Amino acid sequence: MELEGEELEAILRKLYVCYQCGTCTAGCPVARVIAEFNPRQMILRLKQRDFAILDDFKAWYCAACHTCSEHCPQNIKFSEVLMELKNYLAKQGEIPPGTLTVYKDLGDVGIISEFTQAIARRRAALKLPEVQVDDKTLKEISKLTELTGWYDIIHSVEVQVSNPKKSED
Amino acid sequence: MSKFALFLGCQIPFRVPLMEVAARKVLERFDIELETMPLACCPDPIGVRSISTDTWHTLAARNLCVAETMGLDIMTMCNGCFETLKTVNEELKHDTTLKDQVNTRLADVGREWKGTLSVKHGTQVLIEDVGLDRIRQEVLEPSPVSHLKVAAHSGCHFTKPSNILQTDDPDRPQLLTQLIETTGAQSVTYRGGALCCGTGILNIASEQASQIARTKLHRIQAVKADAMITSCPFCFLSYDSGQLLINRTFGDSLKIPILDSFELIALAIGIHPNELGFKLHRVKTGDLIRAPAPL
Repeated sequence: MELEGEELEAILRKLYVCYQCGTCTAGCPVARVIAEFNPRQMILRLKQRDFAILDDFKAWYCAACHTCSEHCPQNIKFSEVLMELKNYLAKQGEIPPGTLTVYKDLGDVGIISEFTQAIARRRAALKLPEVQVDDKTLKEISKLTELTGWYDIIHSVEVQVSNPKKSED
Repeated sequence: MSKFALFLGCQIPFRVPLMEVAARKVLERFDIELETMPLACCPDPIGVRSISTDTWHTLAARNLCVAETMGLDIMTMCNGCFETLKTVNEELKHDTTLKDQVNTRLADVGREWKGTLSVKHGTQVLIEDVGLDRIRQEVLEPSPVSHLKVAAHSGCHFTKPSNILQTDDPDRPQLLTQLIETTGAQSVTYRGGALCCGTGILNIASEQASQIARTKLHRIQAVKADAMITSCPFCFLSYDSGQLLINRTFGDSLKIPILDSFELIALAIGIHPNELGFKLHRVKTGDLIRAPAPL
């Protein structure tokens, strides 16, 4: 993956004050179960512009619990830096397939959960009111996702996912 | 009497309706009125925000506008919706560039974010608007849950980022513990109370997500808790239906009932489990509940 440009540099600059104490990794719930996801090491590699550390969607393994951001003695908000980095990567067509599946229809459906007849029956049995996305709400959500470039990002990824040349090594 | 715009989100009404039932019944008892907002994505503070923070800000601001039009503060029982709506509300208050950018987009759908409301989690409504004393007055004598040792899990997005959310101590959360004690149940502490439920990586690494949830369940089992309470649909699912998956995946035999915090209060004030849809719990609650006496 070739990564460069001012947008990326502006993100990476937020990591410069890291002195590698490892407090982020010590508190990270994901680092305990996925050895390849190590915030301290990821920050070091990013500062060295060794972007192989982002291969296989590594940035997306963050659970966004914000524990690292809460505890960092240098006040680096690493979970927030990863958000910016993922936004940047998404624009390059890099979104993990599992994530894409869940979120790709947001602008067309207005929610990210599937509504089924079984759910409708369960709600009725519990005497809960009917729920569904109304037309006005959906129209507004579709318009706003379009205005914020959501479809451009999602469609660029879908093209890449369906392209067999993606794994070219 | 207080009134809130109820933001349900897309997990509670579809996947964990028992949370909605309990919250509606409990808050009705305490004269808190709820006006349900039109269903919409909050949108979630992990997936949508990771893909486009721009979309995240704008759709969240639209939801805030809807409640502003209703003239009410927002209440949500989902930590994800809470983090999103409160964070975006606060960011818009403090960042005029962001506010102008978002409002330019919103103008295209005839809306404008004005910044007139507050966003509250259901736990905050219980503590700040109902009050622990008022809850205690309604608890039956003797309390139907007084025999229970209950562990609390308030979840990441209720407390963090703490500088924005400002709800509870992010490392040693206390509010749910206070609620447990108010119901007459005994609260039990365990190591790593602030540990994440793992749901944030469910889409990308489901087995490891289960492993994170499993760690907490084992620690709760070690202190012999009879049940755990959560206050978020994602956390609830990680530990309730997730527990069956953990047992299958790792060969465990965990059987720790998971209750939403509103369910525990509902039981304590005498609402019958059958009215609450308790059969929807995947980890069975049968041995747990001492049915209220008058039947």
